[in-house]
Amino acid sequence: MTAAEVGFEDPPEGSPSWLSLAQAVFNEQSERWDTASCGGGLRWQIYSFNVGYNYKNSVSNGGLFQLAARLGRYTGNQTYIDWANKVWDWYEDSALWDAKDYKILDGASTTNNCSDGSQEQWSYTYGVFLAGFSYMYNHVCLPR
Amino acid sequence: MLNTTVSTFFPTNMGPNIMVETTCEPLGNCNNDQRSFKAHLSQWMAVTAQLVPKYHDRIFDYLAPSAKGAAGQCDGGSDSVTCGREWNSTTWDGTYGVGEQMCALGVIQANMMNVVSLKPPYTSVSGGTSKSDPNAGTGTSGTSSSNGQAITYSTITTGDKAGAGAITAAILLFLMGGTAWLLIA
Repeated sequence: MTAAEVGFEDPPEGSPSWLSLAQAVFNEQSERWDTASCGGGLRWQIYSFNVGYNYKNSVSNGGLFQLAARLGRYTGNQTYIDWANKVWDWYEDSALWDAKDYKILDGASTTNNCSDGSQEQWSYTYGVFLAGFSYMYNHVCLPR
Repeated sequence: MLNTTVSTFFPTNMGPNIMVETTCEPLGNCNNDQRSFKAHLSQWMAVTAQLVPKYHDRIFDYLAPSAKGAAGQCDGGSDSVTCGREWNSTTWDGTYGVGEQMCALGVIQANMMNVVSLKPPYTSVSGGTSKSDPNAGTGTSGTSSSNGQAITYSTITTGDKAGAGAITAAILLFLMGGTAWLLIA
């Protein structure tokens, strides 16, 4: 995605473009959106045999939110923007987010339907969401 | 969000506007992943300054001192260019590793984006030229290239089966022979 955004030349014909690689990641991640527990969200791991499968964490969902925002801004396609909104709408109502103090907590367990969040906070997770918001703001609120 | 980021990861009691991985750094128990996180926050804060110009000055009020702090940690190790972790001291703290290097590089590179009126990242209408493929990765795309096509397998022939059988037999023979040799020798 960054390669596309900085205007790096696409690989030669026959190889996937930078943008299509990012779109493939988006397509795969959005397919894994899981409403079976916690009302939505991505799990930390894809496969049930991996430690962390029973965990929905902020940075995974922040990553999808940010990527959707960037794809929406880059392509102008509203479907991506809708997805960014969908991820955030779920996130802000979840226990992964402390709405009172604007805190991004690390994650929450699916075994109790994400009823309480881990209290740990990590810098990169804030960064991922902050940039996601910035792409959205730039796309929606600033003149093109 | 920016307010919380600043109040959480630039604690006023740990240096003037210096980034700290507050959950583990003061305790000295950051794992390998956690030791790289400040690189990412640096990068995304700089991107925020680029996309939301009204926050530019405020963001670099924090990224510039952090980069100076990081540089102050990068004279450590036997090579004297190894970077430590705690940016609020100019004496190398004795830590080293890929995470520490990533963080120092990340925050210093972030400051290279501190350019007046730096244009925001390109879009498809503002200079970006990368080709779109909305179905990439779903197995239904590939109009102009091999993007996202499902993996295809050739039919298995009798020859393939015979070859597989021969290789299996050879491996079995090697294992049994090896075991026998170990037992006898």
